[in-house]
Amino acid sequence: MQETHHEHLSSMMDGELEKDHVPEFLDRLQSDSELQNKLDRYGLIRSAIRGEQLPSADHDLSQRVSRILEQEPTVLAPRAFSWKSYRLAGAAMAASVAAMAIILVNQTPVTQSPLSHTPIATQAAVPSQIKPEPVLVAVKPEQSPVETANQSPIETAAISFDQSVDANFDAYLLNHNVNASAMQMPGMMPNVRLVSYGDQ
Amino acid sequence: MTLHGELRTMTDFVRFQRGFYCFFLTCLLVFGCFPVAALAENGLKPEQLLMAMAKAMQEQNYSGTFVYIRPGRIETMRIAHASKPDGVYERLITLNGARREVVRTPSGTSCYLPDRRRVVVNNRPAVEGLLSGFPKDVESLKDYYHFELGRSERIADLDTFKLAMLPKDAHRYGRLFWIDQASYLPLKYELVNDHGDMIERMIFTSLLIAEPSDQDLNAMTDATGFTRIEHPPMKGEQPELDSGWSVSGLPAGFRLRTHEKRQFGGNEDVEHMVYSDGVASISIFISNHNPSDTVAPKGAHVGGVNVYKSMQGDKQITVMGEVPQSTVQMIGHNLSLSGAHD
Repeated sequence: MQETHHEHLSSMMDGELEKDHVPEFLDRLQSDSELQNKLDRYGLIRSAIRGEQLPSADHDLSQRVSRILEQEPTVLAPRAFSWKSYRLAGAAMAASVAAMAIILVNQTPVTQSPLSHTPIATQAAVPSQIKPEPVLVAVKPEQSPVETANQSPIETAAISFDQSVDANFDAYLLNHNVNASAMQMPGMMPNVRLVSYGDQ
Repeated sequence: MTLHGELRTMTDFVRFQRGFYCFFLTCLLVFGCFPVAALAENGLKPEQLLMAMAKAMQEQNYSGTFVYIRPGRIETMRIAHASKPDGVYERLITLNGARREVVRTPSGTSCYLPDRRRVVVNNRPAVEGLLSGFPKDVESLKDYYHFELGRSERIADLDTFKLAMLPKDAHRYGRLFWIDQASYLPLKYELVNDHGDMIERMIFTSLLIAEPSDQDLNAMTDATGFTRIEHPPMKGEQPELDSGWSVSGLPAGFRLRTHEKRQFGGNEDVEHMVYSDGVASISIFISNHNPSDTVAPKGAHVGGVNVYKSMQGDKQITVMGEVPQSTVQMIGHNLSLSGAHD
């Protein structure tokens, strides 16, 4: 079955997936992370072969497909009543209740944090809960830091060797990395960016 | 259908529905709970998992190949890392294009750039410990980041825990980790912006947990004839520098961690301030204006590191950090000398 999905993926990349298979394939793609990753890889490989600029996250095809699926209209037209549909609705409600119960049961012992009981999206929408730190030096009251930054939008570009913003840039970046390794929580190998920039 | 018949049908339906609910609930509890329950059984909270990963990155011996992806660029690199009694040894080397390498020893870090015939050396000793800045109380990070555990995934043929660390404001980036369930090393890492878009990604394709050989840890590049840019080591404890430069309106959680004056290239003294919230760090470099450099404010980025350069009087300001461009710009704007901020 998985093989069929991968064949469908390949066909889709070539624009040859039959119309009848598209809805089923998109349903599968939405829930199958392996298939999504494969789609990413195919996209990268294809771009690389064609010598195109590699896609940024904005152009991530699987994410775009997911977004399109999310935006698909929901059919709200009422259907004729039947015991069958009533049973299905009941089962769906039961499943929802059970899923809620599982989420609550699971999250409580794992994180023990009140934050984990609220979906990220909901929490992220309430930035006002975070209080700014005490100001070190007086700022003009009408000029908030964010406004200040927004007043002068500056175009940015990836640094390459020829466009290096400073003669000391290598040294600055190395020093920042060495300090950052000591200051912050590691996650990525800290010097990756140092050997990666330039030579573009 | 008679009234009796109707009642019987309804009673049957209620029975069926009850039975169905019980069956469905049991199935979901048995099968649905399993992946998350596995994490709970592991006994680690997200913040503990994070700490375990940070520790593993320093204390484990490993070598492996990984792919580094950022928009418009994909690179393969190899890393060898050894934790020895006298400190950490590490070599990172690019496998495609010019062979750039970074070699770390307990006495400092050297970056070899053969394509530019340059070697940049930082003699900062690692005696401070690479996790010295890691918050002792990881709970405090919850003021600025949400922690979420995801379902386990397989990376480089190893089972991982997925951990998301997403910011509560727009001043910092989010981080996603896929952490090896056995070694706690991050096998995949993503830096994401506030829309969830990838800024950069690192993913291991192979990993060997074993002490690498000395050959794997030593520099391969013959630096004969290279221009050597070296920063002399600090002489003992440097008193906390108070030159009058400070930043107002910092994003919540960012604190000044170091403030020092060092020599960068030639004999020029450059002031270096580092702010960190325990996860992301921001450096500010203050130097004399180089006439060959542009005066107009300028932004740039190297993968997840954003850079903003501007002038204040005769001083050149360079702000860089693993935060959005708007944050480095904000800090550049709000940097002032002895309250001379206008």
